[in-house]
Amino acid sequence: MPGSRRRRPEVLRHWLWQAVAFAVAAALIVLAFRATSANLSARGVASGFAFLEQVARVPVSNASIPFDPGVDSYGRALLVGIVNTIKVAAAAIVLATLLGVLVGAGKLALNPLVRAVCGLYVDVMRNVPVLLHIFVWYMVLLALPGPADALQLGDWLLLSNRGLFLPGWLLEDGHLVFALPHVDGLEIVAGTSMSPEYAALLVGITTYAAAFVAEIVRGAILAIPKGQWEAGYAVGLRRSVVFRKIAFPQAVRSALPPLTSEYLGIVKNSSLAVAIGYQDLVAVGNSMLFETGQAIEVMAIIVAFYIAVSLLVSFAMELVGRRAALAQR
Amino acid sequence: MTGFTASSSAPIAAHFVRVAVEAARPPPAIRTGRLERLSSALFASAPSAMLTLAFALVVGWASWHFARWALLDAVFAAGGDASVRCRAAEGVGACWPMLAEKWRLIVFGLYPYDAQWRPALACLLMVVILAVSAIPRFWRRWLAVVWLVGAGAVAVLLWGGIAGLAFVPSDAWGGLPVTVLLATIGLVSGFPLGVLLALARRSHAYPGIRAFAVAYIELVRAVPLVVVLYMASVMFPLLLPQDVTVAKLLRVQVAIALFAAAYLAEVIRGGLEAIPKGQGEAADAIGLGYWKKMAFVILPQALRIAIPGIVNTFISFFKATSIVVVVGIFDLLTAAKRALADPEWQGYGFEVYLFVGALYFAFCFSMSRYSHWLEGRLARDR
Amino acid sequence: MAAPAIDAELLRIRGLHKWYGDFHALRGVDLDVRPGERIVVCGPSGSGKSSLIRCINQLEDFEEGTITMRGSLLGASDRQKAATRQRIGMVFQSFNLFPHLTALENCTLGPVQAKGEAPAVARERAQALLQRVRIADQAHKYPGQLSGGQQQRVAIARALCMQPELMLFDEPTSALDPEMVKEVLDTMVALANDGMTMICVTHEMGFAREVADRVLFMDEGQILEAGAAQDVFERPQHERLKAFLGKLLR
Repeated sequence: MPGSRRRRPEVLRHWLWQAVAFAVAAALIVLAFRATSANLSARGVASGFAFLEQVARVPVSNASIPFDPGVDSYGRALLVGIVNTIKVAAAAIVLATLLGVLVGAGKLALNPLVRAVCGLYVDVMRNVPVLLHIFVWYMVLLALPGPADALQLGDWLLLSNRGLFLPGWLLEDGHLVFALPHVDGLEIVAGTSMSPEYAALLVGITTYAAAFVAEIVRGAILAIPKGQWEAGYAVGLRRSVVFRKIAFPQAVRSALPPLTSEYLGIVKNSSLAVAIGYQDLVAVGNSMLFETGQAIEVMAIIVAFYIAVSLLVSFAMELVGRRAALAQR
Repeated sequence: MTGFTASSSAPIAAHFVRVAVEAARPPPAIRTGRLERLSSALFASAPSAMLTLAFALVVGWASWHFARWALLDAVFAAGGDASVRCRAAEGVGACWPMLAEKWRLIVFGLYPYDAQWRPALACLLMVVILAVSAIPRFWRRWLAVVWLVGAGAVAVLLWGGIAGLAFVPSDAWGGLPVTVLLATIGLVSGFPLGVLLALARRSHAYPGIRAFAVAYIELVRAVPLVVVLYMASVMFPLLLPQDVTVAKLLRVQVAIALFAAAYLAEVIRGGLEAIPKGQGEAADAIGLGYWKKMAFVILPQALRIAIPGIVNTFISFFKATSIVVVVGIFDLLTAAKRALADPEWQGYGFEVYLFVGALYFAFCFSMSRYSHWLEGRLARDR
Repeated sequence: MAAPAIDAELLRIRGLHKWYGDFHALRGVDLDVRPGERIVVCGPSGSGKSSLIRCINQLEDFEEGTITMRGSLLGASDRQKAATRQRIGMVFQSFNLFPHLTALENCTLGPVQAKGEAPAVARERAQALLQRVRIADQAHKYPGQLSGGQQQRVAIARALCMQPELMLFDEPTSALDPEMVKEVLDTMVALANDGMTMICVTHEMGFAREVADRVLFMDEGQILEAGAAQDVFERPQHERLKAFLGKLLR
């Protein structure tokens, strides 16, 4: 009977052990806390989160939202960092998925050349660290010519060592105009601009993650029972139609858990911005840490952010998964 | 060979019996040559042919330009005026003499030139011991002895100070040995903690311990390695009194080990979940206690299943150690950047990154091939 | 004896040999099928029955021999294979319904995507066919919500929706629970009585007796005995067939 099981001495023993373990852990935490506070006050560092309202003294480059050093607060600086992180992570997730699906499908193609090239892409991109990817792209982008000799690809893309420039909405004489990028003396005027740091980070993370997405997609397609393909062929459908209408929808379902892991990996890799000077949250936090010395508070904010994003992405993918499951019942 | 035709003039119910059963014969030899089959696969249809042409053009153009840069227009001969010739060829051809001059700095960092055989041997030792440990057949007691002896040997080789070897402080270590060391020690020391976390996460008897394990694993896995490294290099000293310092390499190593434990825990948990419940029940029926049951029945099977996942985790961490560049630890990627910082050799980033990329690729690709081979062997031995 | 009119044959197989690697699966099969004819193929497992019908709708390739349909050889390119398969319907042992589509959508996928039919036209015909296999009320359910017998009937409707000239059945009732075998066999009997040409691999002797114009007995990749159902079952002549029937009817 369940009731009598609760009174067995084993359960009491288990709870006793856990209580002891937690008491020890709590004691350690308290000791660490006291030691840290002593050290911090010995170094003249403040505590608490009040610093968030203080005025920041250092400029934050690559700010996507307006930021004025000497006017705006540390809290706002962190917000700039958060926006930058989301900008690069969201774009990388979308682009890596698109590229990954194409490469993954290419690895399954009938054409041997396409298969070989896609296979080569996956093997090379996957086995080199993502930071190396980012460094190489940064080096390439910085080696581009200056604005006066900017490279032009068609009408809509301008490449220079100041960044990538695309068409977008511009404020010109009080009107909102959709304009193509063009060179104006020593400057480039464009609606959408990407700094070399942002571009290097985005391209590096995307090309790296796309290789993993390709393998996930390929694995999911291969996991579909052969009978599904045969039933599609038996009704007279061509291979490409069977792939689009029968294989791919079923593959999405089994691909979601590893894709979720991969997307979380992309978000985490965005923190490598600190290595090339793109001001994401970790980079902003890092400089803030050195200015204010309040390492623990800044770290806590950063950790809290990443936990929140991780929960958000997992939850969003769970919703997608449920929708896909409903469709199959 | 008799045939059977149902001609319209023959009655439908004509009865047919084949008396002699035809024997099997070998299949006809493939008459289309390999080249013919390849070209028919490439140009099977109009869209396929277009793809072939498009890809061939792109691949051909890229290969041609790369061959021109790396071979045809490149500078090969070393010598006094090599830097002048390289400058002349900058942007057009590769400068291989630069690599010849700098490769030892990139691979071994600032380790004393004449003693560089020591970190090289230490690397080899670590790789061999790891490769052997992944094979379940060698999971015997003497493996632990091998590990201890190996660890000692690596320590002696790198630090020196005894057996006639000059002492080299850990600040002077750099390049590839540091990468291998961080990954190896990180995963090996994180492994026991990972096992404990995996067991804790599946524990029904201790919900508090399970909650702690879940919190640890999820927290560590949500956070980027950069943040953990910053915590190790910036926050950890705050916990200690001001006059006590711990070497940065050691701090980073501990951080990597704690980080790896969470990832390993998830892989091991997957292995544990694949074990049928009956195994645990049988062990209980024999009267084995929890720890004996885990050590002798469950874990050996679970770890066997988890081996490919563990090897993949090692490959990921091998690449991830490159991140230590942001906290100033001298690993292989840091060495590459240092080599590029030399003003005399400014601007030859492509050669250096190609070299380092090739090194990482060589390691990671062989490790993943090894992992596939292992998987095949494990499936066979079952 | 007058020469047979070629047009009278729907399907003609001559000297069909197939290998799986070194294994000689089909060893010289000759077969003519006339329109409206109902053929049942039986034999021990590994005898090549499934391989034979999978070669007919080109799910498998063969190394030697010819298959012609209404006088023209079956083509080898992907486009030609797809065109052939539009004229031949197949029902699988494991149903192979598409789990992410409803019963109705399973039926309309082929006509809309392969033949380019208007969706409304396809839907109408699919509804009528689901009615014919007596499962019209389940049209909007997903395969996961249907029983095995219902799924197989939807599979039959799906194959019929392409308006094939020939229907192939690969052990359609072998994967069903016994109580659901009858509903599927009744559907196939009704289909036969409507005049559909069919080649059916099955162990169901009762079905063969009721419906088959011809029964073929295969073993070791070749047709060893063939004739009317009654003759084959009650007056077997080949040794192997006698042994096979003995095992079956015990």
